[in-house]
Amino acid sequence: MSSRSGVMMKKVLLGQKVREVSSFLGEPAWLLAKRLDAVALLEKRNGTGEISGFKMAKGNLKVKKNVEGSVAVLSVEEALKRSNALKEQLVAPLSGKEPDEYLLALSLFTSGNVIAVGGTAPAKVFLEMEGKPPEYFATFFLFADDSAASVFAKTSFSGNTHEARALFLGRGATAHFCVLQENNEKAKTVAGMAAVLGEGSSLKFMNSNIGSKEKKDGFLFLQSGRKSRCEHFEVSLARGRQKFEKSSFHFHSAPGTYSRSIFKYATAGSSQVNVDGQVTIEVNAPGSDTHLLAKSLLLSTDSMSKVVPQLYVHNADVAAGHGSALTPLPEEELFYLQSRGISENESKLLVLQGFLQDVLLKSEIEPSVLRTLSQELEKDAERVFPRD
Amino acid sequence: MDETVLKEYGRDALLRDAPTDDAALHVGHKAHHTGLTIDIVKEISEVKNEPDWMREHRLKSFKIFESKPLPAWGPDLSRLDFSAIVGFVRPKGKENIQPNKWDDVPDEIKNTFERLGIPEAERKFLAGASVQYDSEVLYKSLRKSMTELGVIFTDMDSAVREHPEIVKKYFMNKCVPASDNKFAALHGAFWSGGSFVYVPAGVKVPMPLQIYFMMNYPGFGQFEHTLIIAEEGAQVQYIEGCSAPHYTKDSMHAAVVEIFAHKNSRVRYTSIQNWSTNVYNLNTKRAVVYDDAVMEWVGGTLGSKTTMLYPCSMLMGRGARAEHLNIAVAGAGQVKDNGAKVFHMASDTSSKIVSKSICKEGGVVRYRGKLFVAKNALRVKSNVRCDTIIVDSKSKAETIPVMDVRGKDAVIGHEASVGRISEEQLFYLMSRGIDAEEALSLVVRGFIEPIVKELPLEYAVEMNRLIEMEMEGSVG
Repeated sequence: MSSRSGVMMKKVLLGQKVREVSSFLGEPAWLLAKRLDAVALLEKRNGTGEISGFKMAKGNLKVKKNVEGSVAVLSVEEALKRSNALKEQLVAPLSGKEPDEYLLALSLFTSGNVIAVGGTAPAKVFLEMEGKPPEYFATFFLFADDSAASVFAKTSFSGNTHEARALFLGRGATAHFCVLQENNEKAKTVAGMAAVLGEGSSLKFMNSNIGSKEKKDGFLFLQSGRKSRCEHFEVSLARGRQKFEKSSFHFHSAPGTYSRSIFKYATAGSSQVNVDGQVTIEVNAPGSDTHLLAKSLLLSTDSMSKVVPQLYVHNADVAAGHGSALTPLPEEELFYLQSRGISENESKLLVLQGFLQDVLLKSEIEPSVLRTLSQELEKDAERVFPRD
Repeated sequence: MDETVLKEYGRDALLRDAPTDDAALHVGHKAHHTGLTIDIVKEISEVKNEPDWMREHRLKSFKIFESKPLPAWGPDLSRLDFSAIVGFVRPKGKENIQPNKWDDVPDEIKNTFERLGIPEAERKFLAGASVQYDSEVLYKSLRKSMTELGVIFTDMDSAVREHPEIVKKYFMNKCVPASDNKFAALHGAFWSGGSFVYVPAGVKVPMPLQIYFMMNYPGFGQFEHTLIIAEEGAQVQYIEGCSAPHYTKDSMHAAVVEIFAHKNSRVRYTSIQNWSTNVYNLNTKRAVVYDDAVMEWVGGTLGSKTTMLYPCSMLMGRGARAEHLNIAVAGAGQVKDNGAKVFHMASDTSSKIVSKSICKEGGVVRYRGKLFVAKNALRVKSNVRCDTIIVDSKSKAETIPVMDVRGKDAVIGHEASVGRISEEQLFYLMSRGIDAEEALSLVVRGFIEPIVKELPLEYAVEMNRLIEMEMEGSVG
């Protein structure tokens, strides 16, 4: 691996770096053990435990927050001092299903925040993370039993980042979660997420990407609680030379679990989108119901779209399916709009916006959040088809 | 001589199996040496009196086979022991057993037909069939009228001798090169037997060409090669059915099928595979489809222990079309890793893939597909549909379709579903007085109907019977 300047960076053992990080931050032993568990899993999977170019830094991650209801936003250090809630979640062993992106950031994060939601009254969390965070950082969301929250997390980073994001939903918790990544156009951004859904919990998760030169997401949704429900929505427009790599691993690990995934991507310019959507229904998850839909809109001859919707069913008592479609802008819709006097470019813009916005309506995420997301996507679409 | 083989089957049995003519005797003895070595490769070429180019091809393929690793993906092949596989064997008493009428067909084969409900009385349906017995085609009859049309339907060994210019032009170079995968390389080195079909320009073959493959030697690997060439405007249907008696040693089937569908031609390749459940079925089947030609694959994967089979269509010419229809059934101990691959390399090409799978009693069915659209291929259309019935919770159903699209205006659709047999449908039928077994059978027949309806009558009957037999005891 080389640095951006082209100078070869020295490879060092990941485990050794992790110990240095933990010691630098003065962490408790159990947290170091957790980091090392992540390292062990990475080594087992990839056969190597080396990393290059890592710099120990706490960075300058700025978190603007606006919260309503019973919500606490704390740094990891503060959270550990004030409560055992984070420890209780993190000491639980890793499931072994976490994506590499999550494990790497979990092992190396030098700065982290905890957002804890309690009570039963609906809470609102608006987070805007910006500045130049450290290369590896973590965000932990704790949703207490029977809590209800709407979360909007927006990132505007100027440099390359690698985030570990964990969502822990307690019994009966409900979370509407929206992430908008609007990072620097030259940045390389990696996000690894692990969402663990408790019994009867419900997660609606919306992820959208606007900036970044390269974006890599690896998400795990672990439905280990009976009758948990999870809806995952992805919507993005890739343009210019953007490259998006999305992996989503969905595990139904308890009876009566329900999931829906809808991925929508449009590719313009010489962009590239790779989508790997895996759903597994385990043998101990009878009565599960899943469906994954991946739709891609192809806007240019130079763009590439690779979609791999995978289904692993290890139980007979299921309803499982997936569908995918890759299409150009539909001629009929363009013709209809143009026959009403709308210019060709404007018609294409409207159809593209319609394609992207459609998923927002299905997500049923909080209207004010959707409005913001919708406006950002509209602006992004105008970069591909500028208004006349 | 391999001691294990001797112990298991006895010296007398081996002597009884020894061929009668000198050349065959030579190979016959060697054939009982298990293992796939370069010496056997050289001997096969020598005994077949092959031209130098084919001998070179075999040796080159063997080197590739040795250098290539086993696939890092797909089913577990770690129990596949290449050293226990017999590379080549010639059938016993060729002249004596060559059947020219139904009575002369070996009893085992008749029994299989009987069990499948194809009685002796229907033998006329099989009139155009060739039977591959071990490595050599023994029984073939081709209507005289077809020969007059210029159609060549013969075994591959004869084709190498009698039509070298055509074989050399197409054999394992443009379609399935030996470097394609480990098993194609293995095949390139050890291939023996198989069919050669050449249909001249404009000729429409009026009846399906049929061949039955049989493996009846323990630990015996079949490496038959099928080469089908349909010249411009030609039409042909080729049907291959496989069945094998049960043996205790693992066998392997590593066939290669190469099809060339030239401009405006139409080729339908139908294959029903019912190997015994100790066979590794690791085939490479591919078609190169030129302008406005149509390639249709119809397949039934019923038997074998482990199957890795992904028929592939390379749509090279403008307007080329491919259709892939497949049924897979996996029972106890079976892994069916199959699917389809279509490469849209030219504009206005289209494809349709339909896969229907059933898994039960711990069987694993996996649909693994690839759909590729090249950057300069415009107005491409493709639709993929794969459905699976999962009978019990010991079984596994997996769907892994890859869609890699680099063209602007491709219209690609994919749909998959996995679930158990609908309780409502069973209840409806049973409430009309139909018993549970029959109701299940009806629902399953409905499930596989889109593919079975594409089969000729006798194959449709066979397929329905086979699946009914597979589904016995699956209710309740």
